Amino acid sequence: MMSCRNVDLHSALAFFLTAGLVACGGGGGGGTSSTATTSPSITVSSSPISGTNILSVLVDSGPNGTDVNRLYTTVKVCQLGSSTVCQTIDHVLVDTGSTGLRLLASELTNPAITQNRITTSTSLPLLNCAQFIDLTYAWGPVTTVDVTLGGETATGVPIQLIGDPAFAAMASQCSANGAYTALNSISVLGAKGILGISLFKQDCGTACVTQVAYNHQNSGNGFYYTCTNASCTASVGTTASLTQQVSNPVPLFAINNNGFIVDLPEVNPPGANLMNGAVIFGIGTQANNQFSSGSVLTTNSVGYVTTQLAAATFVKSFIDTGSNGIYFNTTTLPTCGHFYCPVTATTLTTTMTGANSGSASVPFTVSNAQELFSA
Amino acid sequence: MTVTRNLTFRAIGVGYLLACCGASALAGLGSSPLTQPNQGAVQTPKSAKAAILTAAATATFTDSTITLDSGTVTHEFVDAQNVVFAISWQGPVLPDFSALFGNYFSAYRVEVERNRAAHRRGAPIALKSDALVMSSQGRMGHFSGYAFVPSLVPAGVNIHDVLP
Repeated sequence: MMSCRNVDLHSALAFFLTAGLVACGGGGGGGTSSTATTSPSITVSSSPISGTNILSVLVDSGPNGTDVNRLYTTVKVCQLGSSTVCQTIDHVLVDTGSTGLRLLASELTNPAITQNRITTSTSLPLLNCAQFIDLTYAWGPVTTVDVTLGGETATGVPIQLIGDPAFAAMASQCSANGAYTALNSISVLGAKGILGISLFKQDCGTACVTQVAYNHQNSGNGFYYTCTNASCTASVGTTASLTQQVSNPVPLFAINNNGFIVDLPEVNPPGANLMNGAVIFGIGTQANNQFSSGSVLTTNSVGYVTTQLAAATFVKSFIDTGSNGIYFNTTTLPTCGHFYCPVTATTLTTTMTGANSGSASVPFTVSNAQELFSA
Repeated sequence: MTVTRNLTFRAIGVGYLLACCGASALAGLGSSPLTQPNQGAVQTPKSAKAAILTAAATATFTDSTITLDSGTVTHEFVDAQNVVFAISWQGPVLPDFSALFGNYFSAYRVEVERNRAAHRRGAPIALKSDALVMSSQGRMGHFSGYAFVPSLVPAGVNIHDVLP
């Protein structure tokens, strides 16, 4: 059976209680929404952490001023090998549900930063497609830059340049012939980019290194494309080596590259306007990232663990900072549209179990979503 | 169990003519299946469980399976009249939902817009209505889901036995 069958749910800011987020969602997404401003203004911050392996993150209403519960950070990108040809971009979505850094081309105002484009064996541009279950897509060329996240730098990172106008007209295979919505603006994306720091090193991996043709339709691997010829007016599927693929920057750091901690403070109802937290890079590599207690859960080959909630078992669970809620299905809480609205805050306890049979009890509190959104 | 095999295959031949020309509204869920055996689809005749099988002619269906070059597998469950009454998918890349959902793609999109209006981001997309039941979930590298049209499920077929 599949997890998260029907959905509904959850507790707005209350879900950022701990780093042990349980999410059963799909990465990415965009669109518009409306929200109220919490009054009086409330800011919550996690305890300061000392060290150079820290990336500051925050939750606010996003660059459109209309978003709820989305985790953002600021990313510095530099031209490959340069320490001066750089740009700093705020409000990049922190997404543990996708892999690789993807930045809106419209936000990278200095073309010199992204001049090191990756090309195919025929010297044509390598183009990347990322699709999300809310019928949105990110399409654009792959370029190599140096990426600085807080105190850590990864050199030579292939990233995606979303919505580069030079290639926008040849997105048909990524857009389902225009049926999907392009994530090529702040208004649609609700961010200036996506920082995909999942459990994987590349967005596709070995499946895109050698193309397997199952049905002779030449439909490609779904991630990588190139121009059909030098005029670059149409695209065709292609392969990409692991080092060419859009990549998670964290494993490419020189140190503190074996994982990270998302450290967020507790927020109580009625929520807050601003939350400050941190991503701490490395596990067991510095004084501030030691593994002190708890269970180790490994995932299955595609990155899922199992979550048990009362009698329900969700076998495709994942911890996703790119989802703005803990998305699960239960009949024990009253709903209000697309969320749960218990009369009083209700604490649920799930048990998460890894492929290694390691398990952890994860309690969380579901508050009334209507009250949180209107507070 | 295999009684309707020939009938099913002939009917699908007609469906291919309709589906060949990129007009997705003429194929997919609620219409004829997308792809033929000679295009890589594997047709597997199915029957409802014997205990609930009341009329063999209406309770059999075909599972038309396609493995896309991305590695994603789609299933179209096709009734004896060559109408797709249910679909499912699983794999690293999304299938073309505009084709697979056929005329029901607009219902998927409407539900996406409702999700956005309700502040849901990065959430599974699910819908349970008289017209369509669907669930679409997962994240980059692994997606899965299903959809069916309740009114099109053949008599004698329990949809929960059909879907993964």
